[in-house]
Formats: sequence, C-alpha cells, structure tokens
Amino acid sequence: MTEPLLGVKHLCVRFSSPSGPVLAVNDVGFSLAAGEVLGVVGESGSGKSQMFMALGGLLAGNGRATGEAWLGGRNLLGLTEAELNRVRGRELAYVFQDPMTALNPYRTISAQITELLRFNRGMDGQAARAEALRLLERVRIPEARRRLDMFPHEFSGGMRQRVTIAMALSNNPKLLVADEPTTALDVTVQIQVLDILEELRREQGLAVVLITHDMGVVARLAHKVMVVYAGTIVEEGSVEEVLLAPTHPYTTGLLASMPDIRRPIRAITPIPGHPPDGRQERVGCMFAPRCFKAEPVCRAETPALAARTGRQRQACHFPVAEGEAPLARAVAS
Amino acid sequence: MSPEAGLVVENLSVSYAISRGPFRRADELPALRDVDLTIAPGRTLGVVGESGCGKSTLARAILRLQSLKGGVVRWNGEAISALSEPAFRRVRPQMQMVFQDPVASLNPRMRVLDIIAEPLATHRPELSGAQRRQKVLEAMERVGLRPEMADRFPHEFSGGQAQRIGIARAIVLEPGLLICDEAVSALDVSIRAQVLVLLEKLQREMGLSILFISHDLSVVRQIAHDILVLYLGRVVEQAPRDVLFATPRHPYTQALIGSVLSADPRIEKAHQSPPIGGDLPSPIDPPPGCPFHTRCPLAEPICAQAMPGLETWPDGGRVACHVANRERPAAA
Repeated sequence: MTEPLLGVKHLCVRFSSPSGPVLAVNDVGFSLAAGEVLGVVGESGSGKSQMFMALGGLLAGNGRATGEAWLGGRNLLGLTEAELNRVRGRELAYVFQDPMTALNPYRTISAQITELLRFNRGMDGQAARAEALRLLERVRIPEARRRLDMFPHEFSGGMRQRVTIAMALSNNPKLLVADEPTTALDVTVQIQVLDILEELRREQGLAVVLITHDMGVVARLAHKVMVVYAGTIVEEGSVEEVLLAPTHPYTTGLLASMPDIRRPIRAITPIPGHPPDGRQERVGCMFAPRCFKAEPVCRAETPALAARTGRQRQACHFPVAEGEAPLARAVAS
Repeated sequence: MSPEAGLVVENLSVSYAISRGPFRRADELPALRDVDLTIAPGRTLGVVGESGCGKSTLARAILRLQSLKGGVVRWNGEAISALSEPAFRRVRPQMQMVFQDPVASLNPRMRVLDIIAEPLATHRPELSGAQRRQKVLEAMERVGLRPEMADRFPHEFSGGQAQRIGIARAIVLEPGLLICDEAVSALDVSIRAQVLVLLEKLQREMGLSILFISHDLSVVRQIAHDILVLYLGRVVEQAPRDVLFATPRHPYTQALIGSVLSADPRIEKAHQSPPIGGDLPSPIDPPPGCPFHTRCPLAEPICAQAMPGLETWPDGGRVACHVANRERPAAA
C-alpha cells in the first residue's frame, strides 16, 4: 500500500479565552492520498477550518494544536516557524473564501505573482513574468496577457478567486486546502472554479481538502467526506456512502435541511436547536441534545468513530438505518 | 385605478449616477429597467440573478430607500411611489425588511425587547409601555423566541436566533409585505431550514406578501410561488415556480438552474460542463441588444442588435428572448 500524502493523528486544537479554554478540535485523525479530494462538511464553529489552519501553523495567537500531522515525512505540528515558512506555499497551500483578503489591492496581479515566484523559486523578471502568465492561463483567465498588469479591483470575483488559486499553485504544492473557495461566487462562476480544481487534481495529482458547508460542492469534487460536529468527526466515508446512504443523524439532518434542485420538492425538515459553542462539558455525544434518536446512553457515553452499519464509519450509538425516515420525529420549530 | 390587493410594480426603472473620472461629466448606470411584478397577499415572489443584477436595488426602490427614474409602485392599489414623504410614512409600517446579516442588523447596545419595540416606538407612539411590551412578546412567541430572552443583548444569540429577532422586529407592526434580501444566505444549513419553515408559517398566519431575494435557486424553489429572473437590471423571465423549473425558457434561466449543484454525487460526478462561461458584463457598458447575448449559447445576429420584448406565454410565464419566443404558442 502506498504511503498517504497526509496523515493526521489525534489532532486537538484548543483556544484560551477569558471564559476558559475552548476545545475547537477534539482528537481527529484522517489521511489523504495524492490526487484525492477530501470534503470536510460542517457548520460554522464546528472546527472544520481550525483543523486545517493548525496544519500550516496558522492558528490565532491564543490557539494551540497537539497531535501529529505528517506531510512528506515531516510532522507539521513539530516544525519551527522558519521550517513552516518553507512548507507553506511549497508543499501546502491555501485558498480562502474571500479572494480580496488574499490579494493586495495596491499592486498589480503580475507583481503579486512574480513576488511569490522570486521568493519561492528564485525566478527573475522576464522568466517570472512568463511563468505568471502561464499560471493565469492555467486557471483559464481569459486574455491573461492583457490582464497581467491590472489591479485586483479590475477583476470580477470569480477571476480574483482564480488568481488566488494560480498563486497557491505557483510552487506546485502537493496539498491544497480550499476553505469555502466558491461560497462568495455566483453559481454560474462557482461551477467554473470547481472544475478548474478538478482539472488540477487530475493533471497534477494535487490532493485537495475542500472545506465547505455545501453538500453540492462536495458531491461534485470530493472522493471522501468527513462530517464534523462540535470539533469531532461524526461520520466519514466515500462521497457516495455519506451523501447517498448517510448513517449519522446529524448527516441525515443536514441533508434533510437542504432543498435539492435535482430532486422533487418536498417539505424540508430542520434540525431543531443550534450547535454548541465549544465551552460545554464534553460528556457523551455532542449532538444528542438535537438528535431525534437520542437515548440516555447518548448523553453519558461518547460514541467512538467506528463502522457499525454501512461501509462508512460513524460516531453514533444508534446509526440511522437505510430507509428510516430522517428526522421523522423532529420537532418543527 | 385598480384596487388590486398586494404589491404591484409597473415599469420600474432606477439609475445610479456615477463618475467615470475627475474630468468627465457624471454618467448613468441603469440598475433596473422596466421591471413589472405583482405579489398577491399570501404569495411569495422569488427574485433571482447573479450579483449586480439589481436584486437589492429592487428592494430598496420599493421601500423608497432609492429614488425611481420611472415607473410606479402600488401597495393595495395606492401608488405609494407618488406619495409625499409624510403620506408615505403612514403606509411604510405595512412593508418591512429582513436583512442578510442578522447580527450586523441588530444594534449591539440595545436589549432584544427594545430592538423589537423600536418600530412600535416610531410608528405607534400612542401605545403605552405595557402595550408595547405585550406586542413585543407576541412577536417573539410567533418567531419562536422565549420571553426570558427579551432582556438579553444581541451578542448572546447565535446567528439563527439573531435572524429570528430581526424577523420579530419586521412583523411587530403586522405588515402586509415582507422583503427578505438574502435573509437566509448567511445562516448555516440546519438553521436556514428553520428560518424558511418559520417564514412559511408566518405567511400562513399573517397572509404576508413576501418578496424573497436570493442568489440560491434551490432555496427559492422551495419557498416561492412565482419566480422572477433578473439579468443586468432587466426581467428576462418570470413564471410560476413549477413552470419555471419544469420548462425554463430563457437560456439564462436554463444556465442558472443548470449551474446549481446537487447533493447527489451520481449527478455531479458526471461532470457535465458548466452551462455558461464568463462573468456578468459591466452594467456601466451593457452589451447592445439582448444583455445576455455575450454569454448566450443560442445567440443569433439579431440578439446583438435588438432588445427582445418580454412576451407572455399561455401558462402565465413571461420571457424576453428572441429565440425562445419563437416557440411561443399563439394566444388563445
């Protein structure tokens, strides 16, 4: 068996706060191979982003990560800042939701890309410019040559996001972490950007972590899915297993909450209540207060992530069986 | 004058004055052109389109937060766009708005009780403190907030609860029209469903007309009875929900629907290519003829020359497309 590109074990992320420590990520483990796309699904505050910010040493000052995260033979969580600077951009790159926060509004696109190429690859003026052009064409910026000397404000949202993808790729990273990369884009543009990511994966063997709340984005791109709730993985499996035959009540609830344009219109069934904020005592299953299947044991014993039904793994004492109406007993709000 | 109940908008046009440089004269950006729409009581009209298509300008123009270049807005038969400012203040309580960012739309220094009571203080000054509190508690109950939350501050609430506060504030005056501008877009999936169910419940109980603006077609399909598709400030298609999704006629509507992703990996893994490329053209220099022709897969020479008219089909749909309208059956 080939060694996975990324191997994460027992990852925890804690933040100190005036009202006590907050456990944002609680003992998470997973692996990812080259050319594979991992969809990470969860709601705001679930810890899905912090998990991957931790890998690049990008946590806020009050955050601390423990555990192991192996990428290319090195444990990212044990590296010094100087060592991390060599990993970020070269082996591990990020694309975020809002491209304007990643681009400098005062500098031209070519200046911003060639700066990266100079720093990371030691390229000079003309060669760097030619490479910048190649990168822009790679992400299908129309009329790229003319656009090299434009400023970010002259680009549409979709083109800006393609520029940040081009910049992330400037060093041929092995792993791209894309955190809600298309959430700010219109649907017609979203699909174009997702298809560029798919092309890069296929042609360069790029491994992609796709962090999103949108099951449609996951369905289009991901091979594996991890559903995150309150800092833990509640369900994990192939995209077909998790989206077509979900077994965790949270996953079934998410899917029942979401209208799907390719399926007949039916009443949507919300999950009652709202997610915890990370300060709660961690006893039992964190989803139990919102769960339609919860029994007393759920509030007392934390379920381990294991395969109980189906081929996927779920952290649930009472997984949803196939055909069992999801959230049938859910209380309408 | 027609005494039609609900909201009727006729030939609404809005332009923004823009400056293209320090030495050029001010120019006009046409944000909306000749928009017609009707929302009867108890009905929801979904307005969809890409960013910059004029969706939010439409909401602002109806509430007179934006001056009109032309056209009429009628509420229950009265031409409110022509009213004087004091006369409009009398009608204004009947139309309320729910905003996208629930937390930003609430004053962080006010208690929930005072936030929801503020419209009453403005429009119903005759109410006593006790009466006002009573109305606030009723509105809170309607949106599913517990009475003991009345004395808390917005930061103590999650996004979904904050949006309920915003909705309670919008309904406390018992309006007839609710304008929701991307009202569920910032909410998490599980919370979004709660708010959609709540809006449907309030509509049933209060007979609300709802103008539901959203970029999310799956959500609009779920909640709207009729749908209006805007492109660069123009209506390109309007139809009852089931007609629009079963037989989208305008190529832009087809492209929008075709771009929405499904949670079904068997569909998405087929990786059908995106229905249209490119971005929305700049509204400052809209293309001549049909504004969509630059991205349209069906475009013909005439599309670059003449703006197609918005033609009505027998099933009530309206379409502005030279090519699609050739298939239109003759009126009975």
